[in-house]
Amino acid sequence: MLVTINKKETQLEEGMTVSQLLQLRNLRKAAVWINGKQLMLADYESWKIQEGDNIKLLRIMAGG
Amino acid sequence: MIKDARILYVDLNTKTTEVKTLDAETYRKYPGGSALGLYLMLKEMDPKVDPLSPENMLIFSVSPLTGIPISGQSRMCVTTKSPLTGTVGDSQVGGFIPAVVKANGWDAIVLKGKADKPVYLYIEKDKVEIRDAQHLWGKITGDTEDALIKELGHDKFESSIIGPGGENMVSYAAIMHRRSRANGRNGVGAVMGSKNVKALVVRNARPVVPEDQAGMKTLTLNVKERMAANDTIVDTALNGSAGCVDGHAAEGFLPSYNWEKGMMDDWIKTAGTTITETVLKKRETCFGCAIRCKGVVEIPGKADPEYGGPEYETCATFGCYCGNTDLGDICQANQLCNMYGIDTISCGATIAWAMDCFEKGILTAKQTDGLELKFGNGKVFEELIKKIARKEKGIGELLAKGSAAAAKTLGKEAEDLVVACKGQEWPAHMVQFKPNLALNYAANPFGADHQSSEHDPALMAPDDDQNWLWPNMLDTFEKCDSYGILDDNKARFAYATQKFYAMMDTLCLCQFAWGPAWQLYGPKELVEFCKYGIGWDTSVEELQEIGERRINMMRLFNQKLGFSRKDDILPKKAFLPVEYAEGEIAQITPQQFEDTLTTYYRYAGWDVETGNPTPETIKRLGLEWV
Repeated sequence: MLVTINKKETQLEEGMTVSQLLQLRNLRKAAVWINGKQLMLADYESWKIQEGDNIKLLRIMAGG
Repeated sequence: MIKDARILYVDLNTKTTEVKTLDAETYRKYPGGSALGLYLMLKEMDPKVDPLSPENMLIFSVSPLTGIPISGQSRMCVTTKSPLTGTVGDSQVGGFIPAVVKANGWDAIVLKGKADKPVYLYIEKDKVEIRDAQHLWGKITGDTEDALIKELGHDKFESSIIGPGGENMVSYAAIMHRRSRANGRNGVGAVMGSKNVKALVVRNARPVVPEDQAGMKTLTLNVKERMAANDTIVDTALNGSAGCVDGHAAEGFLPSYNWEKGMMDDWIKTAGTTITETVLKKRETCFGCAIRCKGVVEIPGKADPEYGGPEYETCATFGCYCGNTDLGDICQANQLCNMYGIDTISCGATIAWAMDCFEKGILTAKQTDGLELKFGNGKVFEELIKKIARKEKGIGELLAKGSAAAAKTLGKEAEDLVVACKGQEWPAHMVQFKPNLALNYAANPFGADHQSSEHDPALMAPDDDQNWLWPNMLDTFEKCDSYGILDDNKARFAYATQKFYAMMDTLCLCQFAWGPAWQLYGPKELVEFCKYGIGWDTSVEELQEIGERRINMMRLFNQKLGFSRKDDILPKKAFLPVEYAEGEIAQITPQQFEDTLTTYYRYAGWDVETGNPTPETIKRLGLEWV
C-alpha cells in the first residue's frame, strides 16, 4: 500500500501496524502522527496503517 | 530526615584539618552536591579570587542520599571557581568513590590553600592524613593508582586523581576516578593541580543502610522489569551513551566538522552499535546501579580496557566534530585523555576548532609544530593530546587554553569558529535539533552543559508516555510536533527542567537513572526514595525549589564577577541552518533566541535587562545572605 511518511511517498506491506513500521525503520522510541492525530503509545501495537495514510514520525532522543 | 552535614576542612597551607558541621535545618536548603559546595564558597570565599590561586576553594561533596543502594545514587560533585570559564565551576563524577566518601561519614571535603610540595589526602573515617606525593607527581592516572596500591599494600580504597593535565593546569583538566570516570568539565583538575594535590584517597567502608529497608525494596525489587519496560534504558544498557551517535546521525543532527554540518559520511563506523558489535569488552557499573551503561573497549595496541571506553560525547568530539571516522583513533584519544587527566569534550572540541582554523588557513603548519590538522586526520590526536597535557610550547600550550581563550590570541576569524558558551566547549547536542538547549547552553552559569535541562524531544512524546507525563509533573507544557521550535513553551520547559536537573546535581543523582522524562525513575519515585532512604518527607515542589536555589546561587556568584545578560550568548554557528535527514531545514534565529531568553528570564524571576535574580526572587529563595 502507498502511504506518505514524513512527506515522502512510501510503499508498505498491507496490514502493517505502527509497531512494525517503527521496527522496520529502526525507531526504538518515536512519536507518531497519522493524518494529523497523534497516537497514544498504547495504540502502537494494534493500530493498522491504511492505504493513503499521511504519517509523521519523530524520534524521541534523550540526552547523554 | 536530613541530619547535620559533616564537613572535613583541609588547610593545605598549614597541613591541618578540622571538622565542622552544618545544622540540619540549613542543610535541608542546600542538601549536598553543588548546592552545598556553593553555600560554602559563597560564605567563605571571595568570588573574585584567581581560580588557580591558593585562595580558591575546591570542594568535593556528596548528599544525604549518596551510598544508599539503588541505581544512580553514587555521584560526587566538585565545586570551585573554574579556570576555563572564570565563573562558578561545577562537575560531577560517578563510580564508587561517592558512596565510599559517604560511608566514611563525610558529606563534603573542602580543600583550601596550597601545599608547598605535592601531597595526597588519605581518609579512613576520622583518620585524615596529608601525605607526601612527590613520588607520584608526573605520573599518569593509572600509574598513580598502581603506585598507591603498592604503597598502601592493598586496593581497598577509592581515589580521585589528577594526571599531568591537572599538574600542568590545562584549563580543562579533569579529576579522574578509576581511570575512566571523570569530574571532567570546567577544569576542576587544574584547580587541584594548582593546590599541589595529586589525589584524594578514601578507604572502603561499610555501605550506608537505608532508613526504611522494606520501603526501599518497593523501588528496587522490580528494577529488571522497570528497565525492560523502558526502551531508552534498554538501549543505554546495550550501547551505553554512545548509542546517541546512531540516533543523532539517523535524524541528521550529528555535529560534524566543527559544527558546520549535521552529518558525516561513514558515521556508522563510530556508532554506539558498532562499538558494541566490534570493540566492546564488557560493561561496568557504578555503586549499586543496575543499568551498567559504562562501556569498556579493547583494541590491541590502541585501547586498553583499564581506561574504559568512549561515551557519546567522546565519540562525537573526536569523531564527527573532527570529521574522523576511525573508531580506533577515537578510543585511543579517550584513553589518552583519561591517562593524562583532561576533559574529552573540551579537548576534542578544541582540536576540532583548531582543524577548522587550519583548513581555513588561520593556523598554519608552522604554528601546529608541523601537524596536519585537517578534518578527518585522527592520527594527530595522540601527539596533540600529549602536547596539550604537557602544555608544550607551541600548539600544545595554545590548545591547553581551550578554544575560546586560544582564539583570542589568533583574532576575530578564529573567534568566529569557536563553539562555546562562557568559554566552555559545547557538548554534542545540536540546538537546531534541541532548541531549549540554546537557552541552557547560553544561560547556564558554568557554561554549555547538556545535562542541565531535559532535552526537547520529550515534548513530542505521546500523551501516555512517561516522557510526556513526567515533565508535566513539574509544570504544564504544550505539545511540540517538529524540530527546530524555540518559543515560550520551550523557555518554560528549559527552566522547569533545569530546576529539576539542578536539584539532581545537588542530591548527587545520576541523570540516566533519575530524571523528569526518559529515565529509570521519575519525580514521584524520587520523593519516595527520599522518604525510604533517609526518612525525609519531601515533595516535588520542595525538590524543585532546592534546584532553583542552586541555580540562583550560581547566578549570584557570577553576578559578583560582573556576569550578566551580555554573557548569555551563543556562538555564530548556533544559527546555521541544518538540513536534516528528511531534507528539511532546522534553524533558530538570533531574534528568536533573544526573545525566548527574555521569556526564560521571566520564568526564572530574573531581571530581563541584566539576567540577574530580582530582589523578589532572592527573598523567595531565602538568599538575602549572599
